[in-house]
Amino acid sequence: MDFTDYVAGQRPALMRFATILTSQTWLADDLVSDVLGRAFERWDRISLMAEPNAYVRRMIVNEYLSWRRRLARTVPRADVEPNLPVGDAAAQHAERDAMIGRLAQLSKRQRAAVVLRFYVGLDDAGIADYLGCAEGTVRSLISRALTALRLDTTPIAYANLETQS
Amino acid sequence: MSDLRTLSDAFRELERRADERAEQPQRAPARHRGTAPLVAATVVAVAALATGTALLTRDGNTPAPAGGAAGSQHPTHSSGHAVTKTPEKHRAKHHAKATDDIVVPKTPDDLAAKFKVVLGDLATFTVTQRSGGANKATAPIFTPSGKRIHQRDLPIPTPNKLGGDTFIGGALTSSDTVTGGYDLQILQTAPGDKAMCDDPDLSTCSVTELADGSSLALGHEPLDGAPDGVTYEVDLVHPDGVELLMHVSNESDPKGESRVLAPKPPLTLDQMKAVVTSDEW
Repeated sequence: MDFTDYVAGQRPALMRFATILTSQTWLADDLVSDVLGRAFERWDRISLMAEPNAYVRRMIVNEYLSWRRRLARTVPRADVEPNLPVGDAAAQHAERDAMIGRLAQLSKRQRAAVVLRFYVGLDDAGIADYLGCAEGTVRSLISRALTALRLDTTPIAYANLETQS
Repeated sequence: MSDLRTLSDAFRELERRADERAEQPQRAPARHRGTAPLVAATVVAVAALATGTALLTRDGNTPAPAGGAAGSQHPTHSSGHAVTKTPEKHRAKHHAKATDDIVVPKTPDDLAAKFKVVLGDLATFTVTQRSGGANKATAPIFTPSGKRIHQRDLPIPTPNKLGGDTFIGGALTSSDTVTGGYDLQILQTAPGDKAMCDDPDLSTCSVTELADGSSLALGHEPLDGAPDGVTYEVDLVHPDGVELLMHVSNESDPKGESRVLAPKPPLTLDQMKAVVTSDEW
């Protein structure tokens, strides 16, 4: 696959993934641009992989978890949502925005684990592979994250989540 | 308690914001402009890798190793990269100055010149990545829609009051000839900010307060891509927010995914602490 074609086809999805990972669109821009620049450099090898997109997504996670100072220092503030809804929608949006705020407060590894579990849909082993840690660590990360998110996980909600994604 | 539907809503809202962002020109908010030079530096480094074009060293006239990543080849141990002050001398006067007394380097050249003085004969270095100097990116950058823009199309945002987040990176070779990658950045954070490691969760990170009220973080973290890759980091934040951030690695790139050049980084954490707290700044 030609790199330009890959970028044209996948950049929006990578931007979504990176935005969910960072809470901040401008940071996601930085992450994705940086990673694509590095992917371009080694595209000859990446393009031969069975799942180039999975590899690039992993690069994004690695970059997010790596030492980029700006991420560590600025993550706790999520983008402000300027549109103010009213009525029931207001309450719903408030709950959603509170969740975005709590997501932004998680540590980077907790957040990555949550995103990989509930957005990407990986199991413990898959997440452990991404994060380079033991499966027990993944479970611990997610458990602590769910507590911080004040999140009640039920089978029904799981089903809802899967049908919505 | 919230349920997973709320989490799903949050994800979808963030997706919507990502899509909305994709329709806007790429631009960081003013308060975040400092990121751009780092990105630009990365981009410039990528360009050097992709094209084999050498970037200028700190003095602007000595070419870096052609086609090499930062530290991919050993630097020339020229006298131009070393002065005579020893780290021991520096340690003896390691009372960090009040920032008012610091002449903050405003350009990568200034930073490299100051770094040279601070390092003394502790190490030599080359500069293959730098912020600011170029006002155009020199590697492929992509618009949100995936369109590739070339170097002439991407202006680097205006520097901040310190002259931007001044950044240099390259290869550093210790006096005992151990070579690795390094980067050094000076930036303005909010007054009262505390130093922090890149991954504050790491048990290897320690943060202490110095006598003058500065905050100092020391840490090291393993790198991805190579089993023995490691980066040492030291972060010093003065009370008024002026921050010195330095990474030194045994890989050619302190961010990892690069070649391991030595069993250990060329400087120890103590030596790095001596560098950032030197009164030569």
